[in-house]
Amino acid sequence: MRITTKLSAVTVGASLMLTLAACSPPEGQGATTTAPQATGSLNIACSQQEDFCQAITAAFSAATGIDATYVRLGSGEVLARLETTPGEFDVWSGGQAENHLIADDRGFIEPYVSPNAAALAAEYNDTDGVWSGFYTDSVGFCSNKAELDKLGIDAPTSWDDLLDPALKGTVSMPHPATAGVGYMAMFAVDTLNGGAEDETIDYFRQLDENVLQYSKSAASGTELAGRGEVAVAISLDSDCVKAKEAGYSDLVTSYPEEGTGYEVGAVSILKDARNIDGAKAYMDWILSTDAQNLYADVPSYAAPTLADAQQGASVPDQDAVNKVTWDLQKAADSREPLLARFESDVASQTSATE
Amino acid sequence: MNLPLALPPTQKARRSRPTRATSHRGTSVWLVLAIVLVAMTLLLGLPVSKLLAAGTSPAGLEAIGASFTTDVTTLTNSLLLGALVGIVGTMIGLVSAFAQVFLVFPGKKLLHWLTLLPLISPPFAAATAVITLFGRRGIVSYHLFGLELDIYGLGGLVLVVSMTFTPLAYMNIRGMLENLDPSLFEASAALGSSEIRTIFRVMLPMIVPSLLTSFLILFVEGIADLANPLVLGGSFRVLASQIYFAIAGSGDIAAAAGIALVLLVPALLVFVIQKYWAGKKSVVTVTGKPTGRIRPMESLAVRIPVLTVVTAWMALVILVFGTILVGGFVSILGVNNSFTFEHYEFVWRLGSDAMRTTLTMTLVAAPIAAALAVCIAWLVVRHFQRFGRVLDFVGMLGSAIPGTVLGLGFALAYSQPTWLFGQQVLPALAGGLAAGAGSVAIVMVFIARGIPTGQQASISSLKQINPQVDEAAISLGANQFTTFVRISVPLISPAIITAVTYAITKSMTTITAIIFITTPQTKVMTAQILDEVDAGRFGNAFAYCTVLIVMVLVILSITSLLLRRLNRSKRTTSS
Repeated sequence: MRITTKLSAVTVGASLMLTLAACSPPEGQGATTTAPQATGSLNIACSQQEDFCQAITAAFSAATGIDATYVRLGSGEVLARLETTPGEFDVWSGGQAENHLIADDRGFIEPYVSPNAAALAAEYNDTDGVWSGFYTDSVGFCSNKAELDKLGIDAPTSWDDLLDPALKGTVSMPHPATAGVGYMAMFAVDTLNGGAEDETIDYFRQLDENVLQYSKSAASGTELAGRGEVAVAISLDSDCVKAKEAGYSDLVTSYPEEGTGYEVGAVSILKDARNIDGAKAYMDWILSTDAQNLYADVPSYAAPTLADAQQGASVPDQDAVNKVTWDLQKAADSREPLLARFESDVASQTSATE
Repeated sequence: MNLPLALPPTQKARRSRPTRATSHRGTSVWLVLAIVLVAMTLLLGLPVSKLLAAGTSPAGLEAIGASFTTDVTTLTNSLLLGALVGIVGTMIGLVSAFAQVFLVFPGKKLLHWLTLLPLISPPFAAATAVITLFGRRGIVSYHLFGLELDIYGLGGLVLVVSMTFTPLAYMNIRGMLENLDPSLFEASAALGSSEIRTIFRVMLPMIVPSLLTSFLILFVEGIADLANPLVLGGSFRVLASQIYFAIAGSGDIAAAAGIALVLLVPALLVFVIQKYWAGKKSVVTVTGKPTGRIRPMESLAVRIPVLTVVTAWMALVILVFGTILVGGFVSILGVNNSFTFEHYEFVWRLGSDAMRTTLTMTLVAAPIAAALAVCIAWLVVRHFQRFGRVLDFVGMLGSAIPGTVLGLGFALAYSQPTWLFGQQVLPALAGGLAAGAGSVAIVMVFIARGIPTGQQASISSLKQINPQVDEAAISLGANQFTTFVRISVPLISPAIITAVTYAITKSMTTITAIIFITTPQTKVMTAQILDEVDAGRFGNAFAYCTVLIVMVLVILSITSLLLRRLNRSKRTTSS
């Protein structure tokens, strides 16, 4: 059987060489092969809910005649995908503006100022033309009234109310790494603490006592609350209304009175877009009143950013919400350090104390 | 032909190593070997080596270090979950298999199909159903019994993951039980042993290898599972979800690769133990045909506990799958139970694309996976007995490597074009920019995951065919490959049906292995179910799951019908 021994040695050797050789493309040639080629279809990275993405993409294609496809990805997931497979998407639609800034810091954004951006209020536009905002909503507490009554407490109206021992194990929070809302809550608390990171981490460590689980996405928390599996979910006010309208009738929205975080849902064009004209057309279209009028029908309960766009009846009134001063650049810069500390000091602490 | 086509059944358990059909190998053998080797390098070699490279980078090593120091609980959690899933799943599998082989009771056939049903449960299906049923406000736990169960964390995970993978244990153990020699039980009874005593002193010791195998298979599935910890993990952190958070949250590929390597070590270790230690004692076939006549056991001391467990198990499966079925037709199950078609309308509107794509990719992948599985088996059993062990091992890696880890390897290996000695040999295969919009990489994952079970089944099946049959064909002038195709393949057709069935089921239901390589143009059903669960729209997810289950069942019945017919026609023409 000498031949088989030899054979296995040869094969193992050959496959090793093959795989090693495959690891190293020749100098300078690696990049050129992935050079963008213009395509007719527009690829959208959509950080909204699936049905919104679907309706908006279809409406865009109908309005402009441009063929478009989307993938629904959370903000964190988009940032990760831009890193692993750059050039995959032409335009990034939705997700907090600070995440678009992070993408810009990493060199993934192609600045573009849409002619329609002029109609937006100043806070909905980036001065460098990195992004424009096309919807807005705020972080709120999405509570199940029936569950709160059982616990004998009122809907929380401050961040400290969430630390109430009565809520032990009955709060749901989106994981700040994968869900933008989770990070928005962190940064809102951090802003209220004047940027004192230790105090912020300390707060979330205390909150951890009450948290049942950190959900991968923001919306799944509202579902848990609606079902009564948890009493309170930290969520977007728009998602809470959406869940309520979907049939979870016990849900109520409240806000931390001292101030909460809010999002400007942004759109930006990605570097090396294969369909740059389509991407621009998309950005122009989504910043038009016609497009923003559609929100009411989708239904999305986020508010349009254009003052003259129609607003659905149940959309939370954003002017009534007390918001912290949102420093976008700081929100972008603090993301990595805060997430790292969340991972090392809060989340992993959970399992250690079990 | 009057040659004995198969060895007598009683010899199956302790058959001697079959001798090779001929002493020299023709070109066809070398050609098949070359194809298999290239395929295996592409399917496993490249992704794994890329993963090793990324995982041993400084950032990767740091993540590996953290897994053993500051965050060691995550590692121990994973191992604990794997161990418990292994124990619980094996126990239920054993009891169900025992009832199936040794007891007579009404609903036996039903038990068989119900036990197999979780095999085709889409990811998240069981977890979401269990929350609806047994959560704090669950229909059964709270509304029926007024209990506030806390299923978030280890308890719920063990329940759900065990349930999902019990079918593997069941098939494994049942195959072995059916191959036991009935005369042993008669002897035991004749010597005055009670049935209980016979079970513990005769039966269990003989099936230890398959118990161990089941435990180890379930252990690997348990530590690799990503979907369930995401939905009801509570504060119970496991390595699989850590990998996901590292990638999806922070885009930290090196750290993810590092953690993936930590997950890979116990998985491979367990696999080696299973294959070369537990596996040595027996060749378990998942297609095992009944041998002889086993006399049903009748003592109540046996029947009552076994049937109690079996009934509870059947009830659980019916409840969970009933929830999935019903949940698709009501507004919000447990909250607003009014009848509606809106979930199916949603699925139809958003999912018809994904259904087509998933189906197409499955139908491309499954035959390739089955063909590779049979070819590997042929090489291993008939031609390369020593080197075959290496080949066998490599083929099995497709399921030994946790899905999360394999998927990450694919993303790393195929997001960029592949280079060999300064020549680009392959374009990018994964990601939206890639050839076929990333579908090639997804199909490759389907193939890699689809090979192992078919390979195992084909190997044990081939070993049961007397090599003299081949020799006869060759002495009549057929070449080796013709012999294989015309003689061996029809004879092992049950194994081929298993191979195709598995490849189809695996492809349709996999999520962990493809989560990092889905793209805009290539929508996959399981990924869309994840989105619906994420968005908290269980109703849509339930409808999706039902559609997926029905699709799998339909394809499986068509496939098995076709293969059986093909097989019959071949048999009649050859006799």
